[in-house]
Amino acid sequence: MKRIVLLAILSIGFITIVSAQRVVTGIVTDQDNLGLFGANVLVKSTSEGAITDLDGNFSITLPEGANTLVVSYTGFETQEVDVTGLSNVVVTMSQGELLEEIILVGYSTAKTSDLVESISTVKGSAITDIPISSIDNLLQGQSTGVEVTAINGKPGQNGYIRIRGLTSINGNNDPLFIVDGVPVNRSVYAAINPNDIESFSILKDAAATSIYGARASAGVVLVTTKRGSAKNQYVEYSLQIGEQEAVDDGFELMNASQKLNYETALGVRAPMTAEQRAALLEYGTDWENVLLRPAGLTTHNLAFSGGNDVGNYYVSLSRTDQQGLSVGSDFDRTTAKVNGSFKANDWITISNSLNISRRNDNELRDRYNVQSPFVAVYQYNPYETIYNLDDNGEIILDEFGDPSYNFTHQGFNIVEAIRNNPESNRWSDVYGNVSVTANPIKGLTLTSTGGYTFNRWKNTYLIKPNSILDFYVGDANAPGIKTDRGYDRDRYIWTNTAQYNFDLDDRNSFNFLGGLEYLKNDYEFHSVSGKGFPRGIEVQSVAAEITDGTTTRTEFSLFSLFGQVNYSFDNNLNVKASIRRDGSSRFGRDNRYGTFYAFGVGYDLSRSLIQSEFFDQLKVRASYGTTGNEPTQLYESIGVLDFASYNDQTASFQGNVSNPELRWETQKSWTVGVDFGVLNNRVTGAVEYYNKKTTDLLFPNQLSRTTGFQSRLDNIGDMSNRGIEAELYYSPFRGDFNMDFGVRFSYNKATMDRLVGNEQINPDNAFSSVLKEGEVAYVWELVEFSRVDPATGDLLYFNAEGEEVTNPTASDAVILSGKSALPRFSGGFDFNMGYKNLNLTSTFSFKGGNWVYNQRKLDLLSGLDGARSIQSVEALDYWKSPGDVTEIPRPDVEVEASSSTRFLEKGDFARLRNVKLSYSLPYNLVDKVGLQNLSFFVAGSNLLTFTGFTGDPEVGVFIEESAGDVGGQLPGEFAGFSYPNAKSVTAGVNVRF
Amino acid sequence: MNLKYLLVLFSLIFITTSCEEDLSLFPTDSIAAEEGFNNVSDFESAVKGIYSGFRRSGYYGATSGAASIYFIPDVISDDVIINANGRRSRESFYDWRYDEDNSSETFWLSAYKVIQRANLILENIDKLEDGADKNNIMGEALAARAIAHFDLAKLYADLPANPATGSLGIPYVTSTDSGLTPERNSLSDTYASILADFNQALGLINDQNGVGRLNKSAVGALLSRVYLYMGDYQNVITALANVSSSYGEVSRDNFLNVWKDATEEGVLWKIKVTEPDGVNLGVAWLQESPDGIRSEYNVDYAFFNLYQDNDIRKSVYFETSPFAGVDYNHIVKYRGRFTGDANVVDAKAVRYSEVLLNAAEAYAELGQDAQALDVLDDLRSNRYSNFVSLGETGQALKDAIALERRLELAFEGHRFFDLKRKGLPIQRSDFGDQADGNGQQAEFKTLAAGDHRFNMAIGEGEINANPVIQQNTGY
Repeated sequence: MKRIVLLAILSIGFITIVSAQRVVTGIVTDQDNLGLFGANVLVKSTSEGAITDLDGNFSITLPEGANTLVVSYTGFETQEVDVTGLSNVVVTMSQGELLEEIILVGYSTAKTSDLVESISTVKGSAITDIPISSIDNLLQGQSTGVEVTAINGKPGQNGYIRIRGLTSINGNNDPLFIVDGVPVNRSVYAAINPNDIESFSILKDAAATSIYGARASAGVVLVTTKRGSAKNQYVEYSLQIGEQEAVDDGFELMNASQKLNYETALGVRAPMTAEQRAALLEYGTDWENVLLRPAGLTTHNLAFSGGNDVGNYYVSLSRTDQQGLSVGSDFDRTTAKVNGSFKANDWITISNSLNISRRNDNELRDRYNVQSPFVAVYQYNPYETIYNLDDNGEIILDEFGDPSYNFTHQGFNIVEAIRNNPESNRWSDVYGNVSVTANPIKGLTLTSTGGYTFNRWKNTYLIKPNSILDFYVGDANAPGIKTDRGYDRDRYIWTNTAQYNFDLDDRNSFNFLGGLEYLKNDYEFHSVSGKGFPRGIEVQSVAAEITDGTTTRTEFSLFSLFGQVNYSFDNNLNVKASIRRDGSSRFGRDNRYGTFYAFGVGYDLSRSLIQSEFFDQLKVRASYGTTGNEPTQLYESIGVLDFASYNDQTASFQGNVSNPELRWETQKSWTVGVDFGVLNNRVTGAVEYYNKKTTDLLFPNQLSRTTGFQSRLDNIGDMSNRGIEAELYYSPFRGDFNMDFGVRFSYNKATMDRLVGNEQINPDNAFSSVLKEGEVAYVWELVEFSRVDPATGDLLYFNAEGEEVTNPTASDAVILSGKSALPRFSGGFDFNMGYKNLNLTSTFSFKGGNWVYNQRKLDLLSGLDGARSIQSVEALDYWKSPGDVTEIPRPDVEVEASSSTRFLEKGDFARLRNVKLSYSLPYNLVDKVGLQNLSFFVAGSNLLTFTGFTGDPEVGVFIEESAGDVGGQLPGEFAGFSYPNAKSVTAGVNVRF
Repeated sequence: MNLKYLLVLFSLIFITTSCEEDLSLFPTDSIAAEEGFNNVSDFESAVKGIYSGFRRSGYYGATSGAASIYFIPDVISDDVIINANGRRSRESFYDWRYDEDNSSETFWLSAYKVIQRANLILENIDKLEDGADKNNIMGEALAARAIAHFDLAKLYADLPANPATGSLGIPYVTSTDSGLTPERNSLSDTYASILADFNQALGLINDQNGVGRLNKSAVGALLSRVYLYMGDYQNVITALANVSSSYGEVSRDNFLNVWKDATEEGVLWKIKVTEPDGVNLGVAWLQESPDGIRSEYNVDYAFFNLYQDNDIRKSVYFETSPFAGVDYNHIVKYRGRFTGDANVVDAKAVRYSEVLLNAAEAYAELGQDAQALDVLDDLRSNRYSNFVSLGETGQALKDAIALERRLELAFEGHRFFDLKRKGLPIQRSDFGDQADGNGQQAEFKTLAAGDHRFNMAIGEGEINANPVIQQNTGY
């Protein structure tokens, strides 16, 4: 049978021709002559294949003239078997090349055994079936040196990926994220269907990242999506359903009766008669129940994959529907993907990758006030009702027949706001590439790839006429306010590379790579607001008045040249050198170009020097290199005049303080490491040490405000990250019964080495942690809290002289040496076991060494300052009379505004991130009904947490809405009430035929 | 075979992608700063840039809890009481709990932005040909620079009429050098510079520049305010000679229209606010809610009772109405125009009534009671129905002038400085926040004369960036 697959951008056609055949049977075994189940047997140069049964047996139909089988099995060396004249064969597979996995390394690929770089790989299969919609968050705990902090628990919400610590203070700290050769923005992470991912390559050291030059300081994540193959033809459908709920907040709130007593005792409520009290207690609301909910989740995924010797395809469709944990927040995503490649002739191959994705969600206010449902849960009182009730407890209706909402003590009603002030987002993302590869002569590969991404965001926010908020901010003569906003981002990238492989002799081989790349980004934002929307009509054309409208546009570009040489000696010694020159539009003419280089070497001692049976691998490697970091701001090298309006006339003023001398932030880093495998690779692992030094840190240097400006972007100092990464995997049992353990541990310490012209910097993106020379980055600076004075009930703090005082000033704040909001260590722990078709996999992730300001606790123990809102039951234990020893002060003591150590807590935690139990029906059973596979699973996420922190220790950012994009806020510093993290239980089925 | 064609193709690709010129990208919404001052029109835009600086949050405009020169002087004085059921915005100011990290930094920055914008014009002014346009633009820039420094000085330093705590003024900045880290000038130097700029401006600026811009009359009136704060009463009178006789006191019938921006009568200078500016001045005092007006601050009950029933201001400035079923005396002076968004109105920065009040006070202090009574009655006859002069003299006249000043200029950013310059304490009443004086009382009622909190703390941002700036005593 011969099959030709034609791939165009969006269409696939099949033409099938049938010819004469014969049958070969056989068995595939390992070195111990045990049959291997599930091995792939393929007729060479065709798509015809078979999979071995439980005992390793197979039967395959060969087309006329075909005489070679290709047998492959994960973890074994792939073999070609000549079956000329044979009808039965025994194929013994060899395990020797267990680590011979090919991975993507920058613009080229390499065998893992040849690597001199620090690269972690994460298989796509490791992150499917985890009910998280943004793939950055799926990388949590999956590899060493990669720490991921979710911003919050909102469906589709991004996280912060930090590779080997904090790279920059004000520059970019997010890794360069490249999907199939196309760099994408953070906003696209949630657009990617996790089921489409073949693998992640996470480039950690300069030897790996330097080839990406000016954008690579924070590391690089390469995402490779699935491609079809002749060996593996299938149609697959999978379904996942589940339910999520908020993780425990760790607080016990007062009940209605306790709260009323508390208010009376503190004097914010006059003493009540028994009747008044009973009336308040009769109706009430469990606000947590009203505002939060168990949230449903459904994901469908349909994939088609296959190919032959001239072409292959992978096509998928997916749909995810996820309810938010809060009423009024939902997420859905639809994706389509087409990956294909086709040999145009014997030396030219064309290929493409195309992804289309659309997402919708609802935005809830995430501010630090009662407009946020997650703050509201902790502000309304349990005796307050949602609706105004009459004497019989019936809901009073307003003039329109709608229920009339209770304004509560907050003068607002969150339930009404969720209903009447809806905000929704829609993202449409298209990204992909078309690539031409030519092999005109042996060893030479020329590739030209055009990549393109288009991202569109549309947001609508409606304050419905006559909603409570409309009264506060609207115009009574033109009720209702609506804002439509959105952006278009258009980016193309053109990459051309030439690669030449050259073997001098049997032992010396070289690989040369040269290339150039041009990237151009265009971004356009628009916004229109109007007021006066007749009931029910929500388009701007009916607005009584268009009150505001704007468009803005920015561009940037990058032009790069790069080259790389790899040299391999006797398969033991590997040497790599690379260089890249980038030109960026973000700098002044004199400092526009930066050159970055790297050098790495690796040597496997087990193959030559140590002739030992013990080691299967003992590779030592070292690398040194440089990378750069552009400013996130686009035009800081130029002084500009901005335009605005005054009295509806043009007004102009200087918009920034320019710095034409702005330079690249440069990173120099070195890494040494050992990779090893022993006991027939039953135990494998790696240990690495690195030192990353970032110089010329870009930072808005504070100016005296008397200049009329707050800051100017400048190169202000140096910082370094030093760390150790270790991982160890152990497989005590392989075979029918198998078991694996894995431990990943990363330690990183970020230190401010030098600050130019400043003793200390209080960065805008932090609340109370600072940058100080010689200290850990973002070291806390707070007033030391002492105790509650048993004699007076006052809060006692230490002043700068170390004396106990009741009223410390800002100058009494001290540097808490070594204590930072940045985690010092993180990692993961795996435990997997299986018996035949039943498998249990689990991953714990842990993080610690960080200190978090627990604003949540402050809010719920605020004494008189917070007594109008609900408080924690702990607040009842306040100081009442002299001699009381308690942690809660006299209620009328003013609570400090987040400036003392009283609520600073250690952030260490470990969490059972994922656990999954799966079962595949036996192959011989499903084969009878024409299936390749039928499996089921149940899985849980975040089911267990171990921590000493009060509440959920997984802290993202405080107020996402005002945090802006990256760099707006230091993640993990401040624990405030925000969208909670979710724990979930899901179940699914997977059918493959 | 095909190789050479291919190599040619790739060479072409290399050449066409050498995109050197494409790396010179410029913002799409702005121009290079040095290109902004070529002709009168450019300078006119830059002058409006100054006024948009006055409108910024922290100066006259104030979103969220920011300090504003227009409200904070009233919030921290004795004319208002915080509403227990409001949002309690700016409460730390009301409670006099401000310090270096909880202070008026937005005002400090906004005022120096105005100064920088004025200085940028003055540094480029010689690109214009000599003549009336150049003079007027220069006059506006100089006046704006003086106003901003004066506003800074009165908030952060002692007033020369009552130099209670020391002799420090504020940094007087006349350059756009972004590397400046100035010390504070002495109080006397600060005021000498303010006077010099004002006096130079008076000789240059047009008599009229249209609504929303400074003119000679406004500059003269502001200069009289400076002299009043210096206790230099003779010069108050002299400065007021610059106020054009075309201005007069607004009548009772037209008084409401002043606050609804329906008339410009009696307004010498205002900062214009349009709806797209996103500046809601009135939010400092109240929000509209379906449950009635929700006030942040209500008028103090004792002060409220000083307004007589035949005083037009009582109904224009206040409304007694329920919020959530409880009556309050709301401050509705900035509640909004007759149409349009709630709380959006212009900031009336200098009014003719202040001209009269400054003159009356100066005459009275100079012992010229007849002239003083004359101008006071000009104001009073336009406020009270059936007004008959009481014919006060001596201390009674001074008290009447002070009372009328408090009544007329309430919530316009005067009260605190009138107490400060006279060395008087802030003494809040024992009444509560509700319409009948019941309800929750002020937590803190007295700020003793001479307390260090009569001067604001210089913000932490300035302290951190400028090692030589001197903090005020007490912080």
